[in-house]
Parts: sequence; C-alpha cells; structure tokens
Amino acid sequence: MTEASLSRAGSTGSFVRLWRIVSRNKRLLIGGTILTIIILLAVLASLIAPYSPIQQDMKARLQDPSWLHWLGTDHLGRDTLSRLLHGLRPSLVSGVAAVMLATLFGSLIGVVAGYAGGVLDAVVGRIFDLLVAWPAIFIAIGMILIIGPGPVGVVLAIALSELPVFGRVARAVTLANLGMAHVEVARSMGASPARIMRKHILPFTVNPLILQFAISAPAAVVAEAGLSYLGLGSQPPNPSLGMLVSDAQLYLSRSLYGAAFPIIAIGILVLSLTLIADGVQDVLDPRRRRQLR
Amino acid sequence: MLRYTISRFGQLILLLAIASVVVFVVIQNTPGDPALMRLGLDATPEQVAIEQARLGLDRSLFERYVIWATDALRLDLGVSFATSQPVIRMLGDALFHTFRLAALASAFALLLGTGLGIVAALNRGRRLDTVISAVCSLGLSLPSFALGTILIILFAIVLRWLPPSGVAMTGQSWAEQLRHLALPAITLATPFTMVLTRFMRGTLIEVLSQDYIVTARAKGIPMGAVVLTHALRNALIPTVTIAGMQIGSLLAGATVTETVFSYPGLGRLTIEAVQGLDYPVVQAALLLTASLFLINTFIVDLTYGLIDPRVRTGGRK
Repeated sequence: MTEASLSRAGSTGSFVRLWRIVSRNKRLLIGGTILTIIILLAVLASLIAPYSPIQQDMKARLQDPSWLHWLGTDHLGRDTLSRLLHGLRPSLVSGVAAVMLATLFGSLIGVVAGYAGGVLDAVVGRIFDLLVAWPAIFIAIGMILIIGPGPVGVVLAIALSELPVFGRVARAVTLANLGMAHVEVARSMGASPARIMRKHILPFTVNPLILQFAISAPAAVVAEAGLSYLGLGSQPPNPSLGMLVSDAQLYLSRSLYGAAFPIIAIGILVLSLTLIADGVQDVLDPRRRRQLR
Repeated sequence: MLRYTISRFGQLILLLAIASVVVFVVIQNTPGDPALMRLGLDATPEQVAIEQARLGLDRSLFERYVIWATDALRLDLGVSFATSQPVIRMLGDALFHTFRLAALASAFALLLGTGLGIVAALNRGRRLDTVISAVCSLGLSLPSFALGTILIILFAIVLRWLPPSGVAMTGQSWAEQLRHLALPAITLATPFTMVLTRFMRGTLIEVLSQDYIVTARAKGIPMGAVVLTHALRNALIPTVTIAGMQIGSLLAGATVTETVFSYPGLGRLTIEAVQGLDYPVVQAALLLTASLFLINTFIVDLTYGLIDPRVRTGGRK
C-alpha cells in the first residue's frame, strides 16, 4: 500500500483499486461507510424527511420523540428529524467547498511562491503566518460585515483560514523538487517555468495535498457548525446543525432532545471525517502509525 | 537579545498598524450609510449631508483613518449605537470578564494538560495511555458549543449542581462566582488541555529516551525522581511555548463559549455587536482582539528567543 497506489487510484478513477485500499484499512472502511450514509441522508433529505423543515405547527411545540415525530419537535413545532436531515447539507457543502477552495488556491500560491523564491516567497510566507495565527472566527466576522451573514461568507472565511496550511505544504514540496534532477533537466531543455510547475512539480503535491485535505475536512466542518451556531452561517428559517443547537438551547429546561440530537449528529459526522483522516494518514504515511501522537 | 527584541517590537508596531487599517477598511466597506442609519429613512438629503459632515464622512478615507486611529490611541473609541454608552467602558467590562474566564481556563488546562500528559507518557502503550488519547481525540473533535451544551444539560439541568449561564452578582461570595465560572471555564479549557496533553506526552517520551535519563536510571535513581528532576524540566520548555501560542486561540474560543453560557465577555460583545450592526463596538472590539493577539505573539516570540538562542540570532554565528 504505497503512496503511488493511492494516487493511481485517484487519478485513473479506478474504483477497484480505491476499494482495495479502503477495505484493507479499518478506519477508512468505518469512517467511509458512516460518511457515505450521512451524504446519502443529506442528498435525499427532501425525499426521506417526513415533514417540511420549515413548516411550523404551534399545537405541537417542544414535543418529545414519538411515532409522529421521531426526534421530537422544536419551539415552533417544526419536526426535528426533518430539520436535522436538511441541516446536514450546509455543514457538508460548506465544509467541503471551503477546503476545496483552500486546496486549489493554497497549492497554486504555494507552488508559485516556492518556485519564485525571493521577495514574493517572503511576503507570501509572512501573510500565511498571519492568516494561520488569526482564528477563522475573526476572518468570518470581517467577511460577514462586508457581504452579510450567510453560507458564502462562512465558506470564504474557513477557506482563507485553511489556505495557508495547503500553501505551506505545496511550497515545501516545490522547494524539495527544485533541487532535483528532473526539474534541472526540464529547465536545461528549455521548459518554461509554467510548464515546469505544471508538469514537474504539481504532480508531486497531489499526495501531500490529499493528506492535508483529509486532515482539514473535519476542522472545516467543526468551524462551519460553530459559525452557524453563532448565527453567522445559513440564515433562518433554513436549518443547519449549529443553528439547531442554538435554537434548542433557549428551551433546554423544557426539552433536551432538540439540542441532544443535532449534537449527536455533529459528533458522528466529525468522528467519521476524523476516522477517514487517520486512515488516509495510515495509507499515505506508514511511519505515522508507529509515530507518537 | 536586545537586537532581536527591537526587531520583533518593530514588527509588532507594523502589524498593529496593518491590523488597524484592515479593521478600518472592513468597517468602511460595510453596507449602509451611518448618517442615514442615525437619522432614519425619511431624512431629507440636506439633513443627511449635515449629519455626514458632523460625523466626518465628507472627508477622504485617509483623513478619516488618521482621525479614527489617533482617537483610538487616546482610547476614545466613540459611543455604541445600541446602548449609547462609551465603547471603551463596554470593552473594559467585557475584557475584565473574559480575562477572568481565560485565566481560570488556562490554569485548569495547564494543570490538567501537563498532568495527563505525564501520566500518558509514563504509561505509554498501556490501556491508560489509550484511554487518555481517545479522550483527547474526542475533546478536540467536538465543537465547543456542543461540549458546552452537553455540560449544561448534564450539570445544570439533569444534576442541577451548577448554574447554566451568566455571572454571579458583584458582592456574592467567591464560591458563588466560581460556580458560575466553572462550566464556561471547563468548556474553554478543553481543547487547550487536549493539545497540551498530547504535546506534553510527546515531548516527555522523547526526553525520557535521551542518554542522560538512561544514565540517571542506571545510577539507581528511582523513576519518580528522574522524571521530576531531569525529564520534566526539559519537557516543560517547549510546552510553555505551545501554551503561549494557545492563549491566542483561547480568545477565539471565548466567542463561542461566552455565547453558549451568556457570559458577558469580549467574545459575546463582539458577536452581539455584529448581529446588531453596532459598528463602533465591532470596530473597537476587532481592533482590541487583534492587538491582544499580536501582543501575545510578540511575548511568545520573546520567550522563545530567551529559551532558544538560535531563534534570536537568526542562525548567525
């Protein structure tokens, strides 16, 4: 199970190979199964949810779980199960979109900065330092002040705060490759910098970036939940996992279920992503297994 | 060391200036006209023009920045739209509460984090180590609002041991104040504790494999004494640095934790001001947070320079 095997599986889209890797690693298998179920639930939410997520029923407020409402109802009589299923979508989409943006721009900036070196590299490095030190929440507040609360601001904020990690990874790979023979040869044969970066450096960033993607995904989902809990993410009445908890919190003394179920859902989601991250680490970096953590 | 300090201080000043510009530009680009917001929608254009002149909005962006920045340096941060109180007073109160919470949380995290780390390192590979590392993964992956809500459910609603939110009235006993602080402090401290535990464990295991530890053991010094006198001292140095860096994220964590527990600190003030579009408060709170953050980084850098001479010489001989 080498690095090459995983990247081949990814690049050729060979599901058989990918499956072989996944089925051999218990963490990947369990995490992947749970995540697949969650994604299916989120995609099919409007088909399988028993009620509309925003339909209020004032006669059925703050009900405990029953056959009618499996997970109970909230303070406006909305069905918690339906809101939970619909609320999965913003968490998954925002988290994944943010990390994808961070991967794309982070790797581009990192490769270019590493290749160019000098002042550009130093300036980019300094900006990365600042962005890393700066918690996502304050970037999010800035975004929200300018473009208003909503998923777009949240995605951009999380992407910005995750971007430097990807940038640093890509830069490190670039620097390591710059001194190697294949880049030297390409350059002496007259390849342009753009071509060298694209053909001779970027391919080597794929595995480290996959690894970083897996590590950043749970963090991004947690960040999205936190921001939507604070009311900075998706806006009412559209549900999100964080908002379900903050809504239910005011009525905790009357019903615990409204808060408990979304928290369990977040826990399972983050757990599955963390398992996958650990599994990817095992596969891509076998040393990691024995290393102290 | 002096040269290093001066260069770091110069960087701090530069970064503070940049942060203030960023905060200013963000607030200037928020939608809505402050003059119109103050007068209401049915104000005549003349009234709006007068109000804009009074607020200084007719000046250039640069002039406005200079005026705002010099006022801020004199600690004049304007008046809140929402409460009409001086912003500096609101920030002062909030900061006091946040500091109290953060201090308790750090103390808790430092004690428990190093303690758990030592226990895990000394029991490396045994069941206790596995349990601690599992708890760490759990504590790090659960969002703090979820953890806070679980604690409220458990200790405030089911067991009724602790109050679910707020602060004790001034004048109430120390015990009562602590009871109010307990749940938010534990919530805020948890990620910090887990990071420290992991780090302490890793460092201590590394130190324990060093030759001088083996020598000390070979001389017949009992394990406990070796850990206390030889290993801990060397393992603590990097841990202190990590702790310093974490204090910054404690500030960020405070925004969520304070909201969960309706605790009147800086984080909750910021979030409420953002939601209520109370721009003078948002502006000042962001500037204050940025300054605290940068000053903390500065102090950590200096400590790092003190501990590790290679850092301050920058590799020069």
